[in-house]
Amino acid sequence: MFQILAETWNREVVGALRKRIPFRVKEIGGRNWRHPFYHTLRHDGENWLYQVKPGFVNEDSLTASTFGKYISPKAIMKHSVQSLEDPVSLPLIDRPEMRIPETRIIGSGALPAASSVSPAGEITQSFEPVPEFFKNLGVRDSKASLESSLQFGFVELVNEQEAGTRILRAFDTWIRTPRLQTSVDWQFGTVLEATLATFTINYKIPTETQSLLMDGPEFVQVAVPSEIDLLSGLVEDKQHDETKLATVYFVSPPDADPKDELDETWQPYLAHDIFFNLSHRLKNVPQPTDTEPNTLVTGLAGGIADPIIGGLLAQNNDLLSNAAQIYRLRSTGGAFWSV
Amino acid sequence: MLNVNELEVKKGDKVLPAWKKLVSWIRRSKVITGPGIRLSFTPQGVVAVVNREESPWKHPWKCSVGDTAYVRPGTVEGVVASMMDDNTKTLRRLDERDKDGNKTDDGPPRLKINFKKHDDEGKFYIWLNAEISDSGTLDNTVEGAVTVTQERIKRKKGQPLAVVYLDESRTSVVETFQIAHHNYKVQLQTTDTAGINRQLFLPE
Repeated sequence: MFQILAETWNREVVGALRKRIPFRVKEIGGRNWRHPFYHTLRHDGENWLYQVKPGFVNEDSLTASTFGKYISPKAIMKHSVQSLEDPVSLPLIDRPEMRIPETRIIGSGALPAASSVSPAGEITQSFEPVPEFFKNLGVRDSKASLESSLQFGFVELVNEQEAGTRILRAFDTWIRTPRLQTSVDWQFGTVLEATLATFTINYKIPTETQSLLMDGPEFVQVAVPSEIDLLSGLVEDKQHDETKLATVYFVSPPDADPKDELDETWQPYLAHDIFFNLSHRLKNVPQPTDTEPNTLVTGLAGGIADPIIGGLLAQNNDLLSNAAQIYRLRSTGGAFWSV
Repeated sequence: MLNVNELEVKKGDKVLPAWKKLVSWIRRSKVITGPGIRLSFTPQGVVAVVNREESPWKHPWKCSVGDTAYVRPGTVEGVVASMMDDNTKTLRRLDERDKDGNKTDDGPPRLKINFKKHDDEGKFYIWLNAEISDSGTLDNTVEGAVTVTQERIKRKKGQPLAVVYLDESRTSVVETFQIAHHNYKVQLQTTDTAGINRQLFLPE
């Protein structure tokens, strides 16, 4: 039988491999095109920092909030920053870096996004799904379960974790663009056989004047309230519109604990949602006549008007339809699009 | 990635496990081509030529600004924009064609930059203008229906293509930020009772 001595193997094979492996390929040449709002990350020895390539909304650069120590000396001069620990807001064209915000856990170690209890006392939970890409890297779905004791009245979250599992953390960035806020003021009067309900649509100028870069554990797209809710004042219209920019993920080394610090051993990954500069417009631009009062005759007998506006409108579909139509034509909720 | 140290065999131990490990790594390490990568298999080994210097994305309206500005061709409602050419002192199409669509030999039009035309921050815009009627139509029979100009401040109509920042002495360009990346169609939005409409430039 043919035999290879360990010494020969180490010299001829392993020795030859040592000379050739690892080989490195250095990339020489131009950079690929990076789109507006492209995020980059780095660890400065203490914190993870991110930077966003300048992007524009309605021709204006987004404004970001950070601290003096994360901006260039030139930007420190330009924005008269007194101390490196001072908070500062500046446009993305000045290339600020931002410390990453609080993160959320996805998959193993995560808290349930929602829980419900059936009449039989069975607890059902749902979790934010782990993207397939990260499952291939070793991130596992959450196996957390709620253990409850009706007798003792406690609910405890129990996390089970497989050996070798990686932890996935994430945060979101988004754009907040200020816009006029629509509000409705109601007044009531009575005539002989009817109640007069008068509503006036007003517009409030937003306190912010610039589009902002926002960040946080998770961007929540607020569901658009119904016109009846906005009209009746049950839900207040916002002074801004928002759209998500990106999700930044961090994958831990194997066998990490959900409580582990997010240090330089974690690997960042990016998922962008926006790739171009944006325009934003109001759905309707208010006209001077839009703030004139609108009177609705309810048909209810004088003096017995329902003080609850929602109830008042519910009395009469036509009335609701008229009021909603007026509101729809005059409310200001906006929209974004790429340019 | 193979850790070569793992292939070392101690005196007296069998080589076979290390051999299997090496074979497994070789199978996994198959060299394959990708964009910009060319492989040559020679008796001495594999030569990989990697040329990742991809040409930059030539999107519409791409602006290069110095003493003059070049703008890559772009369209509004299918009409190619024109620009005042510093060479010929005429309004010329960005696609280097004449009004009949024939290619010219004059090269791309160059817009002369006026370094006194900037705002207090020392910036100006390369701006896209479209002559849209109140009914929302673009009259493409009119010369200069779609033009590119230098603007000191934002205009109420039109669409910015790029914002350009000058140095402190306002004599040279420091940085150009591209804003527009698409060809456009235009919608009108009534903004006041005087009938002035906002032009909304939407990607086509």
